[in-house]
Amino acid sequence: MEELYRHIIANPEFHALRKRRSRFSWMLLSIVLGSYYTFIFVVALKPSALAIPLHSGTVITWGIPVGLSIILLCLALTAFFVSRANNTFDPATRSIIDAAERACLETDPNVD
Amino acid sequence: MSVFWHRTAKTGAFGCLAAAPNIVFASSGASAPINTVAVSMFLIFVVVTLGITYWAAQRTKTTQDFYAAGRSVTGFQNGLAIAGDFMSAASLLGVSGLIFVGGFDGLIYVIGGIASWPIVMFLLAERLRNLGKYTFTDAVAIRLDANPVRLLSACGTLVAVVLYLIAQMVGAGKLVELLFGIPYEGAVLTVGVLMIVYVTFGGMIATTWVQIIKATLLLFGATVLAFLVLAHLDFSIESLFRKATELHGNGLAILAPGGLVSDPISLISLGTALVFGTAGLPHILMRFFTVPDAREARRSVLYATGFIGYFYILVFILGFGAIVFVAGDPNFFDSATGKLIGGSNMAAIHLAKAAAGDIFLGFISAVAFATILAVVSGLTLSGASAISHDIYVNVICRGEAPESDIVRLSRISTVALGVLAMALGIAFEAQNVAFMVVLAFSVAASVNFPILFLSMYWRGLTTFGAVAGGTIGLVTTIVIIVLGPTIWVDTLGYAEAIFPYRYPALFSMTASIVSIIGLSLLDRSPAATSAALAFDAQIVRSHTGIGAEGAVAE
Repeated sequence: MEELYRHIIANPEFHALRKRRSRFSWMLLSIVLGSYYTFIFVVALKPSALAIPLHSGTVITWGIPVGLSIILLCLALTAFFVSRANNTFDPATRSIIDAAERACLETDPNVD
Repeated sequence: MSVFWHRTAKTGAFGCLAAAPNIVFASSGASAPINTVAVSMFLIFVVVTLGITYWAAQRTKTTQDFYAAGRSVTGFQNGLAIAGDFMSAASLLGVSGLIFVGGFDGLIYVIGGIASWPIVMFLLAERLRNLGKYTFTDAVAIRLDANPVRLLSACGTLVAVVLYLIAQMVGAGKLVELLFGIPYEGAVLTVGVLMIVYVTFGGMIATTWVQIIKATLLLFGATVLAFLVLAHLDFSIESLFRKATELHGNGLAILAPGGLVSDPISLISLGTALVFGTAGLPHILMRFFTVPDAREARRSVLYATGFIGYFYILVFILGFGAIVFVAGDPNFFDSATGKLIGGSNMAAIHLAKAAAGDIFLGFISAVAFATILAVVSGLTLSGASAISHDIYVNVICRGEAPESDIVRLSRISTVALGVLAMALGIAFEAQNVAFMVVLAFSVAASVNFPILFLSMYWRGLTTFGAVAGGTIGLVTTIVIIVLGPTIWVDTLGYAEAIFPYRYPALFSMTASIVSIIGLSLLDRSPAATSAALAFDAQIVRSHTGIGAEGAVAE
């Protein structure tokens, strides 16, 4: 197994994939935390902004659709993450592991 | 009357967190008549879950079965179980009650509860599954000096679990006394004994299925209730909100922020506790080890987010629906005091009776009881894992304990924790326990989350930094909450708090992260160097799953 790890660490594709994955995760994370804390800061510091009615003749304020869209945003980004991971990152990881396993066999045919 | 509404909002519901009970009912002395419908429905639930426990017990032979359900839970099932852990009685009763009292501000709890799931997904779920075995502590201990790190994480787990358990037990006692008409002690003992039976015999398999059944019942009940509310108003959201503003003492203000939390720092701190506390709750993190691999762990979070999001939207409708159905009715609402009969947590319960009649009231009451039962089971299992797996097996026996010993010790720890929970539940009957939930979330956000997160993402983390910094986080959380308004003023009765803010998370989490990083940077020991060297291997394992605990027996 350590042999396998060594091959993977030595593979530049692994590090490229790592970078892509982490950029993707941090981007989604910053969208979620950004919108969440924007919401919390507006509620804390300028609540009147969310108290404006959607249009004349309604009691519904902007706060309601804004709140609901944060819920939907969280769900949508979570789903996006899963589909990206399943369709892009998992196959790429698989091929890196396969390459490392082949390399292990070449250097030492006795390793599992 | 608006003064009363406002005052209730400031005191009654202030100290609550979304995922946890704020079940502080107004009067508990009067003995209600026994509610036969509710009791019979609850008994059906008990019989079914005991049957499942019997079935699960046949399948619980190894430690892996006991703590990780043999890693055979699917992503969908696990998502439902995670959602079940999170949708506690407080989410149904507490949050709908907060909305009933404070309107829009209840949405803060809802959004905080949801926003934590993408964070769990993007940062933790896959890596946790690839690195850990039974507890999140396993993932932290992988490249650090295991003993001190395990002791600290186990402390973080146990503190959070015991505080949360007390709040649940007291909530269960009060709720059941009020709804079922059986005495407080009887309710606490019922919850304690059933929970011990589920966990001791059925381990994680039984705990997961109890949680799945309860989550399904809860989603069903909330859906029916929200449907009836909307049907009554011809499915017009506009008329739901319009009627609510006409009937609520605060009028249009209930659709604007500002009803519950007025001080900005406290609000930001509360928001931080909600979002990062959830990501550090040990009984939820533990569920990621019950699925076969990282891919299923990911799917679990997606399903959990979907169920929780859907449920919270229903709760939001129920909170406003309760205003429409209940606020004008003297059977439920005392307009002289401006309070709900039985306390603000009764909003959803009264709504069930008003909108759907006695049978449905019995159903919702039984589901509320089942909810508490399922949540305490998960908490106890998580506490037992900290005692037997983290402390006994790994710290005391250096990882070399015989399999049969581990399972036996896990069962003994479960019984001990259950008895402790019952004793504390009875001891704290007359206390306001809402702050314990705040404390549990804050400990999770200030100890568990920072250590777990930094161990996965920062090469420079050292054992010394993690342990010393985490301890600083734990102590800061406790000191701030003791000196803050919740304990210093509300519980101890002093006129003014030494620390002005109610929620510690913003300060304690910052203190924890800053000291973990600072102390790690100062650490120049050989252990620090080897921890950094081991980071490469950890990265490979967390990304590829090579070396992760598999679904096969050890």
